[in-house]
Amino acid sequence: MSLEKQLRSLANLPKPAVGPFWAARVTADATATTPKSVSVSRGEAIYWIALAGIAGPLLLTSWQRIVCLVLVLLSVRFVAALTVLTSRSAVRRPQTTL
Amino acid sequence: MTDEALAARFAAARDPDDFRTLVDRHGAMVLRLVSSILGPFRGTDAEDIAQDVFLRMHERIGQFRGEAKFTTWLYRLAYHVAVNRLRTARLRFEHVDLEKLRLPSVAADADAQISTGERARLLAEEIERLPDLYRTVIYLHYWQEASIQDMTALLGAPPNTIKSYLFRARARLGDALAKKGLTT
Repeated sequence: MSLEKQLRSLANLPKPAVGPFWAARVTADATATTPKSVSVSRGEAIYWIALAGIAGPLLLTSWQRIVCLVLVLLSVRFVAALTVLTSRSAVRRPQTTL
Repeated sequence: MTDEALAARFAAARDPDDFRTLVDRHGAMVLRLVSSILGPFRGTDAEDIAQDVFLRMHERIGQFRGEAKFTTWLYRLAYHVAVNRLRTARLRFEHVDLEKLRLPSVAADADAQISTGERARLLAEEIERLPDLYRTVIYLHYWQEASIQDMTALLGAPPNTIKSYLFRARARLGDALAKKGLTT
């Protein structure tokens, strides 16, 4: 049997199609999972910049303090990642075989 | 309203109705592309990945500068999302349901020494071994029955390049199947 004929037979396999409510579901999921933009007031921004300016020179004076700072930053990031994962899994469809 | 104008308005105002219009307009084509990257045996995954593409589009719409057509940007995003998911999940051929590989139109080939099911399985195996781009063009053309024009839009390559990909993919498949005595 020729290659072309074998390949043409692929056309008989079922083709996936989007259902009637697919766009609505994608829109609902996208709206639910989009992180809200964090608005920081000018006063708050100045506070954090000043705090970083003071804390930086104090913390970055020895290796122990630098390690402490790195550990704190990593744990904050880990907790944030966990929060995002759990909030996404609550609204997303369950994963299939992938 | 054009896709580009709609995308720009959505990026500025984040109106869910604009987003839904974009999903309505391009959902079918994105699914077509994604399912061609995954192949015909992973339909449910294709739908999930197509959804992921639009979720990423929702997140990254600010990166669309309007320098290219919106569809070019979206289909490129879809291609990368699907290929990355395919690679990171390390989908293996063993996941494919072999029952589905009994292709209906070759069922009458009773004289063949190799059974129809075996022939179809070997064909599918060889297609799976092709590089991502070649496999995608084969599935787009033969399974999804996409025209060269559609493939040009989906893959962002000129028609002659698409034809060249198809030619090379067929040549590779032909060589591989000839070694197994499956082509005449």
